[in-house]
Amino acid sequence: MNVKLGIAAAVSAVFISAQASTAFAENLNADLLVSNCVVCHGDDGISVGSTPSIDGIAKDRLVAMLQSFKDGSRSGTIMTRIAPGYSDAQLEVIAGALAGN
Amino acid sequence: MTIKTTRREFMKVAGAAGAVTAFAVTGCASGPSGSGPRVVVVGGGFGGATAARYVKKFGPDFRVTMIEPKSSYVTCPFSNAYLGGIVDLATITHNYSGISAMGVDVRQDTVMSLDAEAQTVTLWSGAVIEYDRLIVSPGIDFKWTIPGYDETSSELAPHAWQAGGQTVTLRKQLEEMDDGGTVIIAPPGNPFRCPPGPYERASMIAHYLKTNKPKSKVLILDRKDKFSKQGAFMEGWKKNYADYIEWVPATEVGTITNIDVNTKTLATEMDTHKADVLNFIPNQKAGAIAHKMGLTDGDWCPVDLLTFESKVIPGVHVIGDAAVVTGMPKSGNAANSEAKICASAVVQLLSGATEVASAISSNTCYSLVTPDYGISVTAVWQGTAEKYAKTSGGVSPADQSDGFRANEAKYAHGWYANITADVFG
Ligand SMILES: Cc1cc2nc3c(=O)[nH]c(=O)nc-3n(C[C@H](O)[C@H](O)[C@H](O)COP(=O)(O)OP(=O)(O)OC[C@H]3O[C@@H](n4cnc5c(N)ncnc54)[C@H](O)[C@@H]3O)c2cc1C
Ligand code: HEC
Repeated sequence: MNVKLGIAAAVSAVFISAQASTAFAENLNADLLVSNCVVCHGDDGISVGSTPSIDGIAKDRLVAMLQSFKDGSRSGTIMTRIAPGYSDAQLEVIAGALAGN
Repeated sequence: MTIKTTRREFMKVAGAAGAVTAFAVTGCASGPSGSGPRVVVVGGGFGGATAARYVKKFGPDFRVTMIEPKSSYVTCPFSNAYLGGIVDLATITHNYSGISAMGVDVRQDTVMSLDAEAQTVTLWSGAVIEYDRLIVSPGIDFKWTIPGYDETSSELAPHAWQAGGQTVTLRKQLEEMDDGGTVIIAPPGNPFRCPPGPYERASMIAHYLKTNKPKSKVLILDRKDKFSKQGAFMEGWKKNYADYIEWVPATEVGTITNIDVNTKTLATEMDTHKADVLNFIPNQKAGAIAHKMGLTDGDWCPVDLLTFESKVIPGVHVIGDAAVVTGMPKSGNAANSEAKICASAVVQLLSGATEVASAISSNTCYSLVTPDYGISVTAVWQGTAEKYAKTSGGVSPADQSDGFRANEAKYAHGWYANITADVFG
């Protein structure tokens, strides 16, 4: 459990509510988006199993990796089926949140 | 969507007096940490444990209580691998110390009833717990509709569809079976928890038989004419278990009329099937407490898809297998994903928000065909008020190399390690 993330999340939860309609329409809640990745990549992207860790990667590089899974230029067993589910804006938010850790 | 915070709810949140009463009534010495709103979670499975952790993560000052009768939880995920002899029981057993360590009050008790007016739940011990919002994740219960098969008799022909004692019994029966025996698996009709589960189980039992009792076989007598990841399973079975697994669709099985757990016989309108080990899996409905609380409409609990608030009882949220989440399957990963959306919504609503920010979910169900041959089905959904709309996903592609299948088997273990850390801490 990362305390820093928890506090940031609580603040952002209150903050987001003020601009809820826009954020909701585009599903840009960073905590929820990244929470979809941690089931395979671990808390803060630090994997405790055989799936790769994705912490400590610069944002631009992460976006490029995710985009390459999304457009199929990079192959994989499963990321090619996952990445296309997220909009470009969502991938930006995810990469920003992971890189910020 | 807009949700009105009732004046009463706001006062409960704002007023410290309510908190004092809660402790006085329950006589609880420690109680949850924090001084914020009170969230009570019913059930410490994939949905409940995740919800407890994420409410605390999103709202560190929230007072969270989780009620679960068991002191430790055996996961259904990887229980088929246990049946196949690939992992031991300790690997799939988790305790709640990681959740307590976050300041959640984990109570080993059973919720007996709900008073939605007073916003309290009463426990088996007699304790009465107040909540500002309640999250209910009780999993499934069974419909005992086939003559000869009920809760008591199921111990002899275990369904093993809630992991624990029956999973161990089923493994023991497999170990005691003579070579040349027939294992019958009778999967349930839709909807049920873990759509690929029965077919992964067939694979893992076939692995055990092929390695230890090579003259034996698995016969699947289905109540459906098609099943999850069917093409991928069939490809894997053809390659690995040609002589070991036979699948019979519902139209050829006919209606099951009777089960004799002593002779391990399953009778249909047209035939009688004798097994050496019988794994009958009953049809399912929401966990009993959801029915008792009045949260159901028919077998399952209707909910608002963006907050998971019950459509029947305001202030109460239902997640996991018990809830109707249009578009998503009943799985541990889905329950985990729903719990996070629900936790985020609950924290926002109790912090005075009138609209929730976001609902995006995902799920992956890995299945092991052999220890070195994995397949998966995955999806990403964007939540709307009507349904979770799938934006990507699908089943592992056909005709892949051995290396691809071996990698998916490896990543299945990685998923298990990381998701159980996410659920239980
Ligand atoms: C063989 C098998 C294999 C599976 N494999 C996978 C897999 O690989 N991946 C996957 O994602 N999913 C898998 N699943 C599905 C997964 O186990 C369930 O979907 C998941 O457990 C649902 O979570 P839940 O919180 O709804 O229910 P549960 O996890 O069942 O939790 C419910 C909890 O509530 C408690 N409870 C019930 N009543 C009360 C009460 N009155 N008071 C207090 N507590 C109560 C119970 O004790 C229980 O601990 C599998 C299932 C099976 C059967
Ligand atoms: C079901 C498990 C699963 C989920 C969920 C998942 N991943 Fe992955 N990820 C993998 C696997 C497995 C790989 C290895 C490549 C492959 O086989 O697809 C991987 C690879 C990656 C890589 C490349 C790592 C490297 O160093 O090469 C990145 C980046 C990544 N994932 C990011 C994400 C993000 C961001 C999310 C959430 C939006 C996510 N993943 C969700 C399983 C998952």
